[in-house]
Order: sequence, then structure tokens, then C-alpha cells
Amino acid sequence: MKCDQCDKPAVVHETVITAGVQTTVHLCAEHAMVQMHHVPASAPIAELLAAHLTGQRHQPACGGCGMTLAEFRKHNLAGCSACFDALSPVIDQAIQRAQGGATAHCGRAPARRDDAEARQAYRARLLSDLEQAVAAERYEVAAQVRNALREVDGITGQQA
Amino acid sequence: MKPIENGGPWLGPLGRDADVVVASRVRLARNLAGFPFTNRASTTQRREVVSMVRDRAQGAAWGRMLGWIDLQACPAEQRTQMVERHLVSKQFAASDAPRAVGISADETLSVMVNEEDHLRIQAMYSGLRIDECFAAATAFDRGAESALDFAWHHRWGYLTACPTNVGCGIRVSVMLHLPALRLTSELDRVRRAAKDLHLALRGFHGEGSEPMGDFYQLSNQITLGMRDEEVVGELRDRIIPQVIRYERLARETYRSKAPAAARDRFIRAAALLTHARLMPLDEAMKLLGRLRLGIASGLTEAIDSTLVHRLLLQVQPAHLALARPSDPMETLEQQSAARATLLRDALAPLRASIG
Repeated sequence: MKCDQCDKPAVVHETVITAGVQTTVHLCAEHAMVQMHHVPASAPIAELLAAHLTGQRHQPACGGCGMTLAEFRKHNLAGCSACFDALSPVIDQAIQRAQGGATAHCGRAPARRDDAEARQAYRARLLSDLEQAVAAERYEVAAQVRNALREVDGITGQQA
Repeated sequence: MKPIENGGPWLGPLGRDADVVVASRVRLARNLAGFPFTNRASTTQRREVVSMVRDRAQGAAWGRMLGWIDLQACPAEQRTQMVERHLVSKQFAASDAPRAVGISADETLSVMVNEEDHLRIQAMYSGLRIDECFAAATAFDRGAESALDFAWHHRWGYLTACPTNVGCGIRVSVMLHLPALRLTSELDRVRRAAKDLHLALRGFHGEGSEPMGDFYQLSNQITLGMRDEEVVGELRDRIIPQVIRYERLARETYRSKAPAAARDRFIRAAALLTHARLMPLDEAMKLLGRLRLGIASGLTEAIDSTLVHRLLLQVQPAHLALARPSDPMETLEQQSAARATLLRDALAPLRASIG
């Protein structure tokens, strides 16, 4: 698809709702940048640009504590356990950056996770995460979930 | 808080590699499931977190050793004293929200409730004793998780407010005395190497503090994708021994190249500490550091490093004020005078020995 403003290929595709009217814009990198500069100076340009890069026009907020992406970025602190799913993938990237590229926990889990029932529930959740990741073509995440799954099965195997 | 002579985790026996290592510490970050983290919790929720942790700890074998201090009811000077003793963080002491700290009688274990995370479990020992710190912190952690539900994520492990602690939530830090590496300008190399290995080299009071008296804290930065035992093992077996070797080598080099200068440095420090009438904090720290190096190099037998460690604490402002309630301490000069008196008295044996 071509840019609305020139013949270069469009890299930014954006749906904007203004006063109830929905329009879709397609822009090349250059015109996307130009349009960004037309945003009033008081608007958080970095936020908008980052939102474009992660493909998220409307910032999600955490259902658990109300933390928005902007607040998370500002303080680099999660507000509750639910943030780790609600603010994905931005929070995933922040963690990996802080952790030298590490992508998943390994090692000890709270003792109560050793209950067979809890482990089954955990395993079921991992499986559904894996399906979702594959469906969304997020293969890196899928690989990490698969590793976590292997670890759970390893523990199950040892104790069985 | 009881008199300092009776305890303090780094005032104990010096332990292994005490010529370079002052103290070891292991900290675990944990949060309670079902509550927002401290930064999003309401005052009521913060109070609930404090009473839940404290009540369960008080009623159980794993937590009964802690005595609890309500920070909101604690005078500012005592809060500062706890910071100086490395029992609580600066931010924790300064905040005015509901929060508490549980401290064991020997001060080796302390648990901050409502710091950046709901629980910051910390164990500290003198010398290179990472294993003992790890064992003490882990014992409390395991006990606590039998009574409290910790926030946990299938991918990220133990959840913490800051991405830097997610995973196993462990921070191992070793307080090192590195005067020779700084004197020989090799500290920057250590700093760069530490950065490459994802370690942080910080000042005397940890995050955001300036190095004082050539004391540094070296700690791990990575908490994800490594088992807690691996983090401990890497620092204990690989990194710390290496830094100790470098520092000893630098001390050797300095002593053999400039033996008179090494001795002069020590004598000057001793002379100032035992005669000065005014002693600002940064100068006291610097000179005590030189004294410690002199003791480790065998330049005196009149005093030992445990006395130096005790003085490193006692010269801090809140310790000074609380120990000498009758001295006027309103101005920096009065504080410097009180500090100088304390040092002259404590180091009398040294004065006699340097003649």
C-alpha cells in the first residue's frame, strides 16, 4: 500500500476517530515523522511515536490497578501483578532490557506451586498462552512459553 | 535501638578475606498476591500489608525472631540511624506512608514492609559470607511463603514493581574496601568489567551513593533467567575472588614500589584522626579507610579492623547525635567537634603506638 501523501510504500497504518468519524491513514516513514511534528508541542511526541512502533494507537490500562503505559514508562514501575499481562508487550521489553536480554524465569517457585492441582492449572495456562502466541505470530514469546512448559513437565516428570 | 557495641552485622568477627571484604548481604524482593504494589496501594491497603506480614511473622517459628518498628511512629533520628546501619533504605526511611521494619536481635536479618516491594528480606554478615546470608534470607522467605501468597507469574517468576528485580528477586551485594585499586587507577577497569558482567559497583550506602573511604558495594544486576543459587555461586566463586586478587595485587605493587609513601599515608591518617579537633564526615571516612589499609598491611597492631568498622558507623551523623545526647549538635562544626572527640578517645591506643 502506498503512502497517502506520496508514492513511497506506507509503513504506518493508523485508524483515527475524530468526533465520531473514523478515517484510516497510511503513511511512509518520512511523512509519518512529518505528521508527528505537526502534533502540538505540548503532546507527548515520544509516547505517540512509541505507540506507533508497538502498533498501539490506544494505550491500554491495567485492569488491576489502572496503570497506563505512559505511567509505566515514566516511572518504570509496575503497579500490580496484573500489569505484567495488561501492559505486554511494552513491559516485556522493559524487563528484557533491564535483565540483559533474559526472557523467562527459571528456578524456584513458591512452594504452594508444587501442589499437583496448581501445577495442572499453571500448565493449562501455559498451553493457552502458547496457542495465543502462535496465533498472534509472536514466535519469540511462543518459544519462551514452550521453555516454561518444558520446565513444568520436567518437574512433573521428576516427581511422578 | 540497643547500644552499637552489642551487635551489628558488620561488627561481628571479621571472617574470611576480611582484608578486602567488609560485609556480605543478600536481599530478596517479594510482593503479596491480591494487593497492588506499594506504589499503587492506598493507605488502607498499605496498613493491611504491614499488619498481615507482621502478624503472621510474629505467630510463627520462621518470623518470631524479628522485633518490629513502625516507621511512622519512629523519630527521624532513629530512622536515619537505621539507614546508617544499612538496615533500611534511605527512601524507606524518608517516606511518610504506613510501613514497618522487622529486625532480628543480632541485626543479621531485617525485613522492610512497603518499600518499593511489599517485602524486602535482607540478611547481612561481616566478611565474605554470602552463603550464610543466602541461607538466612531463604529460610525466612520459605517460612513466609507458607503463610503468605507471593505474587508470581508463569513467565516472569516472582513479581516485583521494578523490572530490574523480576525473576528470583535476589540482590547479592558485597561491601569491598578497594583503596589500592583506586590508588593505582585500576578501579575504572574493574568498573568496566563489572558492567560487562552485569554487575553494579556502587558507593558505601548502595544505590545513588558516593564512594566514601574507598568502600564500594558490588552487586548483581540480573535476576531473571538465572537460579538464585547461580547468582550466589557466580559472585562467591568467580567474581568476588577475582576482585580480591586484583586488590591484593595492587596493594603489593603499591607497597613494593613506594614503601615509604605507604607508611607515610598511614601515619598521616593516624596522626590526624588522633589529634584533630574538627573532623568532617567525608574526611573521617577517608582517613578511617587509610587506617584500615594500614592494619591489613601490618603497619600497626595497636588496633584491629573491627574497631575501624565500628567507627565507620559511629561517626555517621545520627549515630553521633544519639550516642552523645548532651553534646550540642546544631551546626556542622559542632558535629565535627563531637566526631573528632569520639575518634581521639576511641583511637587512644593508636596514638600511643605512633609516638
